[in-house]
Amino acid sequence: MAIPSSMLRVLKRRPLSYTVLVLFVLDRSLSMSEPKTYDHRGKWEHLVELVEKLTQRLSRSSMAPVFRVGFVWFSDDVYVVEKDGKKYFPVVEGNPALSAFRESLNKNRPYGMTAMADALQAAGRVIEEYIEDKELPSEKYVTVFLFTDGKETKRTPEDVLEEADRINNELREKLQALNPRNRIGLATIALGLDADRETLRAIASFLRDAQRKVLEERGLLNIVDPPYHEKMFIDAPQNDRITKEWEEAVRRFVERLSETAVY
Amino acid sequence: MKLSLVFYDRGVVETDTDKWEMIDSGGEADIYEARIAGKKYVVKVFTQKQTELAKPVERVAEMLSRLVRLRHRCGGLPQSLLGRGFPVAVGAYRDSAVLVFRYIEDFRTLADIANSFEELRAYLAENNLSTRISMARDVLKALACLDLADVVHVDVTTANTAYGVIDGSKWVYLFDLETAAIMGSEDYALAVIPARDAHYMPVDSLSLAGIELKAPEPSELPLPLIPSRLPREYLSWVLWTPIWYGFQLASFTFTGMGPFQGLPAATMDYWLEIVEHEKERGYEPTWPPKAMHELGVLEANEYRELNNIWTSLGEDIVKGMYQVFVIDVAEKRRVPSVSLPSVIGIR
Repeated sequence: MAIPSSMLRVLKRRPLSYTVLVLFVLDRSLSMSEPKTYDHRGKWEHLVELVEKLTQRLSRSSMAPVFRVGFVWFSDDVYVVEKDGKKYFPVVEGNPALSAFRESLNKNRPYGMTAMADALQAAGRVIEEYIEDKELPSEKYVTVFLFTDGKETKRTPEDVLEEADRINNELREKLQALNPRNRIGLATIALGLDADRETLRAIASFLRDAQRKVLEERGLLNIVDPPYHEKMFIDAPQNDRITKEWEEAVRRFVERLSETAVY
Repeated sequence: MKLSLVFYDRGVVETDTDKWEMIDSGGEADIYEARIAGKKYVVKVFTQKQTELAKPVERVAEMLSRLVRLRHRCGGLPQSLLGRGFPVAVGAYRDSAVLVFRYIEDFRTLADIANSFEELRAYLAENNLSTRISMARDVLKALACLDLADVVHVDVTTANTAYGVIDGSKWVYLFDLETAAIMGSEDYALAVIPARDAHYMPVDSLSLAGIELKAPEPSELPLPLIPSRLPREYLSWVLWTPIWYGFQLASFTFTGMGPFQGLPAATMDYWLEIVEHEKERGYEPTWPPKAMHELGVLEANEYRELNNIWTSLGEDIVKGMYQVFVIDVAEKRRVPSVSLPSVIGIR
């Protein structure tokens, strides 16, 4: 049966009542090439696989059209993945987010040190762009996932706290000025015992009750911020080696937090 | 492990769980595909916690008995409740409740379809107008029957609606009914807050229109739906949710798009402009509302086309949608002024 062309035009316009920005801030320092993993491949390769899987899962989520996904790589310097002037991408209709991420890999292999504060600053700029994006409805949610196995080497841990504070407070206020429902969350994942776990825990946002409930129901709360289970923080795997179970739990944690950004 | 399942139509059947294949796993339940007595089924094994909290077997039994009692009022049970809505067998796996559903071939959710333009196009092409009218009306009838039975299904989303084949015919099927609450019952309390549906204008946005309505906090669940004890803003949320989402689901089933489609962004801010315009002019109920054309969100030919299509769904439903989405919002009603059974004409 032929579908009227004007109906197709309306169908192609996808009005959304809200969007969710999922922003991955990814460590590509030299230590990320260490094979401290269950299959002796580098941590960087595992991180790439994890982000690929997550981006694919988001594209299959019932909420898929609302997601916008961005990527910030960091080591000595910071690289914000950008394509056609955009710094965050949809996951439906061919998953442009996944393509943009894959295209960034060659330029972002492990090297150098850990400019974490710079990375958070760059993440803040991406969030600002998202807040100011007039093409999207005013109801906007943001979750930043910071993956690192290191300590700040370019600036100071205080600078990391300051940049995170800007995301958690200044940008949250800006976001909520658009719509009081809007929310922002910063989740941190330590990829090794050498990570500055204290700072990572300090900068992580507190879990909201609804998120904690979902994580509890999914059997994930035990790996989140033990023993308090208060913050969006996942500590390094025991024995400093990424196991299959740990990796799977992190994947589910990121997925759940992305989907519950609106709760 | 050997497991005994009680089928409603053929008594107790023993099955070997080692041969089940897990297809999905969530916090509430694991989902398996299983071949039982030569036939394929979908088996839902609830977590122990969910079994205790939600009593899924007892809950669906209570719902089914209520629906069967009023089957004559519904004119038979709607097909969209049968595929994945009510189980054909129940059992217990260790301490966990087990529900067995008919297998749906070529299973996709309406959300899967709406997320991909190609899938959507195929859905519209393979179901002619009269089939889509029948499916959309059946979905509304199913929700109306639940309403008559005091069953409050708040999770009426495109992700909880299957599209596929049973017994050779394609249809849409509501699922996750076992999470629906029963109004006035302490035993079958509200146990879920619906997930946000990417394709829907959320019911919570009605609060931006000045309607005092609020979703319960997840920490308050399970929440018995006893009207005299519910805070008023929760009661408003409970009464608005099934009809607000029900019309949106019917709209997706019928046209593959939401009732607010065409707006630059489907938010209450944009919608209020339409509502105010309609209120000022006092137009006759129609869908899409005339204001969508007059305010320039739909071109004249798009408006005419959509108006023709929606009119074919039936004057009763168009009137109901207009009442709920336009008039009741303009009047900031605490609860909708019409019910699904009254719209469908079964009350």
